[in-house]
Amino acid sequence: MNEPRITLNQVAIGHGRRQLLEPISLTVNQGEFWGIVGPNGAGKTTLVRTMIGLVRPVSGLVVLARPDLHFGYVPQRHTLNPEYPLSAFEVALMGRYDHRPSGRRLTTGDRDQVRAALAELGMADNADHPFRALSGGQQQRVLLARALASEPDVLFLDEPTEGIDVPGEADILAFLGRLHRERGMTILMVVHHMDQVGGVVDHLCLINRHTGLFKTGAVSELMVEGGLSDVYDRPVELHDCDGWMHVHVKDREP
Amino acid sequence: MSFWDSYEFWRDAVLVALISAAALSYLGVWVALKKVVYVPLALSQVSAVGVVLAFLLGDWIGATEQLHSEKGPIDPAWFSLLLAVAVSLYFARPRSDGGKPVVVAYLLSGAAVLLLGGFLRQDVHDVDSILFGSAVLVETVQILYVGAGAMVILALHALLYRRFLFVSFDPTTAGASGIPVYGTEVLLYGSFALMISLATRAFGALPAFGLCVLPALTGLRLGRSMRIAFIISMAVGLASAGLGYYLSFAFELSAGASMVGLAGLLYLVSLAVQRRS
Repeated sequence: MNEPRITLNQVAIGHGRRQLLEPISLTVNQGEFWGIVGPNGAGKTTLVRTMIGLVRPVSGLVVLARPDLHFGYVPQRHTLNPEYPLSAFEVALMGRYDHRPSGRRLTTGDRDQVRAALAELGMADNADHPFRALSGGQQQRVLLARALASEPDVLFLDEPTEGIDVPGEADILAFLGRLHRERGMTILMVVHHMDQVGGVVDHLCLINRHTGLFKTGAVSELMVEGGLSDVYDRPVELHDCDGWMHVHVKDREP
Repeated sequence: MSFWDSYEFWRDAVLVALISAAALSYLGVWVALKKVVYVPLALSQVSAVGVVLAFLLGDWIGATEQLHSEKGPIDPAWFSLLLAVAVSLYFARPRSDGGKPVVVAYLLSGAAVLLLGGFLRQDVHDVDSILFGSAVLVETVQILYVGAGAMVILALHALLYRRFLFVSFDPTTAGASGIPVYGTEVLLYGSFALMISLATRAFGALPAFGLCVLPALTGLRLGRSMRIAFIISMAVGLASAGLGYYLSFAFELSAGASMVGLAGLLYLVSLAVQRRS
């Protein structure tokens, strides 16, 4: 614990030369569970892609604990093309691709690892089903299984509960909570709604490029009404229901 | 004279058509899945610009006759291939512009062929057939070109199939796991450019584009897995090329149009089959 995994040192995120925010600094330590929260178009996905190395920072430095740090990534489900005739197993198997050089066959061990990951997420019986025929929640579990099968050092999730029904959302969040508690996995999860993360994450990154907001810290520090108002640029009320904080974003006052 | 009696006449053309159809209908599955069906069309048009440029260069250095000769050191195919590969590097870049550059490339290439064609010398009378090949008669050297192109694609895709699949299906996650996304896309689009330009030169733009797209749509409609989709697509491509050529011979039809017409008919049959099942 407290061993830095990813450090952003005065990093300006953006696309090309277009800077989205003033330079930011952030350290993600081993075993931390971060919620990256902000409204649509706030710069959350750009921040994550910059951390992973998919988007080059406009300026500043992203430092990894080691050069071969392995990232697991769960994309926004709607970005995938549903027309690919792939089974759930074949999609999850992609998590093992980078463990075998091009031209080398995947091993029985790779396949067993993928089956185990699918079983862990309750998808063993659906392994041979077409990915495109699964429900949104089931597809999300397969994508999560794929990320776990890749044996990541850091797991990134981009809006993993988007478009999923309430029970499905609760299942995924509960699973991620267990993953963090029991395996000490370092997780960063992008979400729109504070409701979704308050009960599972231990750190928050509040971001809104429209207001220039970028705040990081422990949940206890940032999960306060004043702090959250800045994220959504409108008044916010917090309600404690059996330890789970519900966030009520109100209309702008006239 | 019966079809089989004239074996010597059609052997090379059918061989080129079958090799091209097999490679194009395989690549077409990727083209259709990546939703870039206009890319082969634009690439074939860009290839045509390469051919015209080759002739202009030939005029300029006084080597036009060599362009027409099978044994000549300069073949317009190399110019079209070079230009198509160069443009495919641009197409391979990640973009969110709905494929507008592909359409622009198609339109500008079409205009360039007509405009630059006006500067060609009068004695270049068969530019059209060189631009868009002929599904009926092909030069023997085209078998070599198309065969070599197909072998390159076979080797490349056998080696990098998993990468192509991952990058096509989910480029962001593929990139996050360390796969060079742009480099992989360049190789995939480069393989489209290679086969489209060679096939366009060898047997025409219409059959090259048609056999790239229609069999793949049939394969993806009926195939429940990538493997089955590839097999169906290639089977439809081969059947369309072979039977299409036979029908064109038997009924004195246009060979390219017969191949594409047959591939289209098989696609319509697949729609009906899927509706009933």
